Amino acid sequence: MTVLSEVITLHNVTFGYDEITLLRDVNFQVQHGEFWGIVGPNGSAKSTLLKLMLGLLKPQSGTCSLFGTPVGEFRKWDQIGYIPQNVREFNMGFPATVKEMVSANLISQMGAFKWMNAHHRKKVEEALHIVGMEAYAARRIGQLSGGQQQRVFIARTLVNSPKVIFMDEPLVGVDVESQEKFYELMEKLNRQMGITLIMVSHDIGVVSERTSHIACVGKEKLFVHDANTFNPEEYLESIYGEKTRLVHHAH
Amino acid sequence: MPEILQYGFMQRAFLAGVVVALICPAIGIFLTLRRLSMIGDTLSHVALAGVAGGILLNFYPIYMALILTLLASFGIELLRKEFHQYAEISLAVVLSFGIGLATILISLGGAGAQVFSYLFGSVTLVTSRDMLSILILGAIIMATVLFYYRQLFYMAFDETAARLAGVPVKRINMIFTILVAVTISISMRIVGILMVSSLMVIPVATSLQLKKSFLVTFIASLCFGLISVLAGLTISFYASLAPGGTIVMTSVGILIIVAAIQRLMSN
Repeated sequence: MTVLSEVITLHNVTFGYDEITLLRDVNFQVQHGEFWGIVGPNGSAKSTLLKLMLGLLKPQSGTCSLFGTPVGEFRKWDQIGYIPQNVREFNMGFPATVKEMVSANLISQMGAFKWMNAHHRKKVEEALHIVGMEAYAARRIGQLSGGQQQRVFIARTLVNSPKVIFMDEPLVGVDVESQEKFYELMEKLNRQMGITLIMVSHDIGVVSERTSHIACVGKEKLFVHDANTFNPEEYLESIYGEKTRLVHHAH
Repeated sequence: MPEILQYGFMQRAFLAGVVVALICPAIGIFLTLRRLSMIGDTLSHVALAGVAGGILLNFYPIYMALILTLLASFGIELLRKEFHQYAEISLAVVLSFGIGLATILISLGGAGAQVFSYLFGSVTLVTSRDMLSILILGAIIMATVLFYYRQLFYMAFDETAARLAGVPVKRINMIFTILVAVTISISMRIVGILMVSSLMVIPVATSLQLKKSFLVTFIASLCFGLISVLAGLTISFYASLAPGGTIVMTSVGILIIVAAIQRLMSN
């Protein structure tokens, strides 16, 4: 692989709050086109790891790079999509339509006065089409269901044609049917559009079935697995002890 | 020409009133959506100290208020970092400081009557100098809000996402804080210090009732502000009442009517 295909590189990254070290000497690399699940028990540094990659948190030592550039100097933010954990904890009465919400992300592509031109409008339409929400463009965001809002936020990142999308627990509070649709959409973004995906999740079983790679966060360390050889039951035993078994839901 | 517009002071009051009616909701919508409407209240208490100080030192009260509210808004930012777990504390501290200083300054000199006109707003006392300051600064505020409209919208919804989308959040927060301070300092002449923050919040609360897009909500809040100020000034003239009171009561009246209509239509 060439250097160009490195999307994310963490080199000897250590991070903690006060005297508690959450991550110690973490080394981690994501290549173009991969679909990573970051898993780990509650309170492990899953979201922290994501925020470090995005430069929202600064490591105590070590470096995080995006596309080979240290994250502090990285400027091509339109290549990065980010769907934070609390994205749907917004004020449901917020006066914004789906279209306004999705258009907002085009801001770095607009001129000084931030006018929308035909090209921008087309981008918004295309993004809504990919996630299947074009019929809802004029709806207020608060009127949509959790799964629909989720797709709008994905469309919001898609308007910039990102090369990588980061998602923090995207399926919390989303019903099972929407989860299935969500993974279908992820497959489309990953396989057809070649977008690298990084997803934090606590749902180890499902993640191991859908992703290409898995990073397990726990006890200051990071363990990396190929999704094909990853055994979620063994993993759970290793962190919770022998008595835990993964419960497979039959929906 | 109707009688009300034959007086020079009423022409000045209406002109200045229109500007205030537009800038207060234009700033207020972003304050309200970010749940920062208390900042308006806090800075207006500081503006009172500025007015009292200005009268005492024989320095133009609006500019004195402007200087103090600007200093106070930076003070709030500093204190916010100090008490980052209790953001409201920084507002409470600055508000207390403002009202305490104002009380001392007012009791120092015999400026009572003049301070009164700033507390409740005034129609007859709007000078040409006031009007000019309001027109120029108001135009700058409106132009800045429109220029940063998209950025402010995005930041109001989700500051982290806005930052990642390339919005210079820190710089715009700073600019916005300055806009709030200037808006309060120039609006108090018409609506009064005690009611500036009402004019920032109530027209916005009314337009939120419409449950429309952000653009419609924004424009509607300016319209509701405009109706409140024009009607309030007219009532103030004919009934010889302080304009602050009539403007705010009109805006509350509109809010109740719009909310009632919305309720009826949804049933």
